[in-house]
Order: sequence, then structure tokens, then C-alpha cells
Amino acid sequence: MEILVELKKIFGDRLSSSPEVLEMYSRDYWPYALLKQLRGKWTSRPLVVVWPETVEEVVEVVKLANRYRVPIVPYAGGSGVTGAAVCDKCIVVDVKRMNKVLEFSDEDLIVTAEAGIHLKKLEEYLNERGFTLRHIPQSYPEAVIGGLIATFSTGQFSTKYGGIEDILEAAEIVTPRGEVIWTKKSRAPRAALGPDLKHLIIGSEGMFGIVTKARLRILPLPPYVWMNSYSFSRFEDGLRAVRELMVRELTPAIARLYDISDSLLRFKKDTNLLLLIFEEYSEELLENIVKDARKTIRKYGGVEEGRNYVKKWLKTRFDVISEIKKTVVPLGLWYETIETAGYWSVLPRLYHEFREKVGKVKGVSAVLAHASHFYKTGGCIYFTLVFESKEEVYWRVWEKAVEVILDVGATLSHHHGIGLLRAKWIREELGEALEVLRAIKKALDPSNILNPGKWL
Amino acid sequence: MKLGSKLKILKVVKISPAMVLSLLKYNLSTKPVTCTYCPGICITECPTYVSTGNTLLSPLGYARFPEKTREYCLRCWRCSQICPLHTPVPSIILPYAKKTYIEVLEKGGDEPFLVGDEEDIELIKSFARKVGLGYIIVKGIRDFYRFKSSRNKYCRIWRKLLKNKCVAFSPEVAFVLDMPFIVEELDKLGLIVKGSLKLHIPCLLVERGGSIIKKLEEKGVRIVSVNSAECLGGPLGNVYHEPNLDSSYVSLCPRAREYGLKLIYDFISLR
Repeated sequence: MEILVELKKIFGDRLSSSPEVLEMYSRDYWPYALLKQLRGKWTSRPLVVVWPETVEEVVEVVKLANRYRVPIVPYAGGSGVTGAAVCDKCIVVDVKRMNKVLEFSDEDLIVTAEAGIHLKKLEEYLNERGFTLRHIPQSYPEAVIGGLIATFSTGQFSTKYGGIEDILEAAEIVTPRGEVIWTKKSRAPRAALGPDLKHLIIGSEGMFGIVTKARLRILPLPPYVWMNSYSFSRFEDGLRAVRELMVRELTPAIARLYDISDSLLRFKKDTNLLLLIFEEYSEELLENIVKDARKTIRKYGGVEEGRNYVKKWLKTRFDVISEIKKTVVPLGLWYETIETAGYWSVLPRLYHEFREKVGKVKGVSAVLAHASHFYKTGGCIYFTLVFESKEEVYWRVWEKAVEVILDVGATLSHHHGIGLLRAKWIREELGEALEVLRAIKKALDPSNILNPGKWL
Repeated sequence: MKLGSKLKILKVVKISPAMVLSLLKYNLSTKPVTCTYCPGICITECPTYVSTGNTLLSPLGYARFPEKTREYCLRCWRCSQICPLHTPVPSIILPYAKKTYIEVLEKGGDEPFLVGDEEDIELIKSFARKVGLGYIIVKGIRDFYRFKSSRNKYCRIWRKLLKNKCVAFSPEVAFVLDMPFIVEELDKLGLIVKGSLKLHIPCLLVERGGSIIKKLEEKGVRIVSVNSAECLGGPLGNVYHEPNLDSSYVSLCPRAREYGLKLIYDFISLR
């Protein structure tokens, strides 16, 4: 193909179409794709993978793709779980060789980096200087900044510090037509110059542009930390306790409420278990917050269980799946995680109905749940499911899960995104807003070059 | 002779560390590597992946395509050390059962012994002379760590037999024989370390990095900064990474001299 010859001229040995490379880049970490691949039934293959090192090279690929009408899928850490980075006969633009830190300002609390930098590398760079992004998703060891932006990521510290939307100041993007723009040029914390274009790229899953640089806000590492765990006889008592903490701004950095099943699996503890970490920049402030928080939790029946469960979680927090895979996969089972969110009034019903109705789906062996990522108005519930490793069971689980989620008024996704997985239900939640997004996509990408065939 | 029989003999016969080391014969099996294909907890540890950005040249790729492991993997074992299940990805290349020998080449002085690799023969002898310790030079360590991690029962048994008698001089020996590294046993050896150090921790000691730093700090060493990310290359790899370390770093790896770095041995002296 002519486009391959042209790409080869630009990228030399930073291009590959070897069968092994194409297989590795044929999917992200979507459990359904993994299941099919294990059975030799995953047939999608990119045309070629390229590794640009500059924004100019990204622009060249985009222009070539437009000229030859070949789709592009931007690729970063590949740890997404919805199939958003899956493609067939496309050019994969892997941004991971664009990985330099470009600016660090401890005065402005800003770091600017190329989009291909691994989150872990950037966080380590900041930690060495006494700073942090405080954006630590479970995919921390493998995630890449550009991917975190494109997939609307959040992290384990989101309850206090917010998601990627709160951390991203501005981004440089290559548009689907090959223009290079910054979503905000000024070095100012806020600019009332029309809608902030960063929101067009956050969660766009590679369809509105390729992120090439990111300016992110940083924080000094909090010096004062307190942690403890609490058991509750009922899951909703734990939710009510966290609600009061949030409403009264006794905001924990981390709050994770595990239901009995999830707590049994992860902590061998037969109770609803709340893990709490508070961190502050003033020791006195931390003491006062903790004093008040403990009183609040006791009010809802929380019984102190000590720091060990929190320490165990801190030690194993990036690995929730290998233990499950090691034990359930040999039994002919498979797994999925479904994260959703709702206002406080929605959460108890969401929790009970999901467990009951999805738990009854034929082939389902376990439904575990924990609530995390809290807000003043509500929170996220993260369900882990184990079921027979059959494709039809996989989709039966999802059909029932979506039915429950939409029925109670929760959202289809709190932070995993849409990809191929949720594409068929997206209209049910977005309604006519989906058409507005489609119109934007058409205006930005008239040739439908960037990540086509997904949910827009 | 079966391992069990060897151990019975070792219980009744008074043995020296050199004798124990000379008995090391490992049968490397072709047991399959069971990577669970998590999203890649180990991935940013892999030097070939970090250098290229190519997922194929990462433990995720190596676990799937053994021929790529043979061609590109640096056998730094960083992935295995950080993997929650300690999956020995580099050993996936083993096509057949193969025997590897670790033999004693030379021995001098008395217990406790510094155990070093044959490639460091001059360095270990001059260091042992300087601090008045015994030494044992062994052969075969490098062949071994190309194929297998120290997380196997044989290494643990040998370690028990050698307990309190031997200390590893190089990261390779510490890793293969699961032996304490020299800076972890300064008190026992009657040694001290002086200075403010910018410390480079090599691949095979990454897992022990935290305890090594703690030990040094306990001894009054000021650790200015730590770099445990840079791999100084492996014996087989084709994708070499140019280390991003300036010459002010002090490395725990004898191989670092080739990159212009100072070595920790220069900062160790008698108490």
C-alpha cells in the first residue's frame, strides 16, 4: 500500500507491521476481547503501528491518513477496559515515545509533559521533588497521560482531589484535520473565553483529536496522614456515614466502602468494611478533622477495625485482578468490572437491585461491590463479577446490568468510558445529546479518520 | 545424586561454604510460564519497553512470544521482581531441560566470605585484601540468571546452608543465590560506608532497594537521591538503552564502571 511506503519514509524503524506487533496492538484490556483472544477468535488487526517522537510527526500521519482515507487509532497505555482502542485495518499511533517532562513549576504548581509519558514515571519525577499529581488510578503502573485524558480517568484519591478533569489545565492536541491547538494558551488558572475546549478532549476516546502534550496541576506531597478502617452491619450505613463526611467537608483523600463479599475476597473479613485515609497540610487541621470524622462514623454504627486493612489495600491496590484470574480462570470462569455512579438517593437501590438481579443471571457466580470516588452529591459503585466464561453469558450480564443501572437513574459509566462495550446503550443515557456530539465529530473530522466505528 | 541425599550428607558432615557452592547443580526445567496477562503491573520496569514504547518488547509481549524474549529480553528480572505473582517471564525462553553449574573457581582467606562472580575476580580480590575478608569466586552465575530467578527451593536450601558464612559481593550473586548483598551485612563484616551518595540501584537488586537504602541510612549515610530505574544493559539484549545517569552516581553494580560511575566498594572501609 502506498500509505505504508510514505509512513516508512517518515518513521523508518519506528514503524511495524509484524504479525506479533499487530496482535499486541489489536486490543486494549477489555475482558471480552481478552476472552476471545484466548480462544483464538479475536481477528481484529491494525494495518500498521507507528511511534512518533514529535507533534510534527503526528501531524504528518494525520494528514496522510486523511489523504488516503485510512483510519487512525491513538494508542497510549492500552489499559482501557472497553475496547475503545480496538481497531481493524487502521494506523495505530502509539504516543509512548513522546514522553518528556517539558516544564515543572513549584511556584505555579504546574507540570507540562508530552502525552506519552507513563503516569508512574511522571509521578515518580514529581515525588522526587516533593510533589504529586494525586491521580492514582488502579492502572497506575501501566497508564499513560494521553490515555488518561482521552478516557476520562479518575483515581483512588479522587474524593479529595478530583478526576483528570480537575487536574488537566490544558492540552495540546492534533485535530482530526492535522491542526495543532492548545485548549488554553494563557498561563492563567481560568479563562472565560468561551467553552473550555479541554472538555472536548477529555473522554473523547481518540475521536476528537490526538493529545500530544498536557499541562497538569500538581500539589505538594501532603505531610500529615491518618488512616483507619471501620466495619458496618449494613452497606447503606457506611454510605450514610461517608455522605455526612462529604457534606460537612470532612473530606477523606480515600474512602472505600467494601460490601461483605468484596471484603471477604480482598481482606478475608466478613463485614461491610470502610477504609479511610485523611491527609492534610496542617497537623492541627488533620487532628480536628479526624476527631470529628470518628464521631460521625460512630454515629452510623461504624466500629473501628484498625489500620491493617488500609495498609493491606495500599500494598495490593494496583492488583485486584491477578488473584481473581489465578483462581477463577482455571475453573472455567471469567470476570468483568462495572462501575457506575449515582446521587446519594440512588445508591442504596442501585446496590441492592444490581446485586439481586445481576446475581440471578444464569451463569453468574459472584457479584462483589465497593463504593469509592465520593462527591458531595453521591458516589461511584464498582461491581466485580465472576461468571461462566461464555460470550453469551458475558452479554447477558451486561444486558441486565444496564437495565438496572438505567432503571434506577445511575450512569452507564463513572470512569471506564464507552468504547465498543457500551456503544449499543449510549443513546439510552445520552438521548439527543448524542446527536450534538455527532455533529461536533462531523465538523471536526469530516472524513471520519480518528477512531471511527465506535459510539459516535 | 538426588538433592535429598545431598542434604542428608550435609547434615552429618562438617562442610565449608566452598564445598556447598561447588555442589550447586540446577536442573532448569521447561515448566510453562504462567503470566496471567494483567494490564501490565510490571511494564514500566522493563527497559526494552521503556526505550521503545513497543508493547511487544515488554513482559506482556515476551510472555506471549518466546522467540522475542530470546532476541530482545535483557534478563534484568525487573518484571519478575515487581509482579505480584513473581512470574518468571525471562525463563520462558527455555526450550528444554538444561543443566547449569555454579562452580567454585578460587577461594582465599577465612569466613565470612565475600562471594563474587568470575567477571569481577580482580575487583573482589583487591577489595577483600583491603578489608581483610575471605573471598570465594564462583563461575556460572551469569549463565544461571539468564534463565532462572532465585525464587526456587534449591536456592533457598543453599542459602540456609550458607547462612552467616557468605555475603554476596555482586548483585548477580545476591540475586541467583538469594544471598544478602554486601551493604545489607555491614555490621557482620565489620565494615562502614561513609559519605553523601547519589545511589544507583541495579536491576537485580530493585526488590531490595528499600531495605538497602534503610540500611545505609541507619549507618549514617546521607542518600541524596536514588535512581533504580536505569538498567545498565544485559548480556543478550539487542535493544540497548543509553543509561541516563551522570558520573556523580554511585552504583551497587560493578558493571557501572563502564559507564563512568563510581562504585559502592570505593566508599566501604573497615570500621
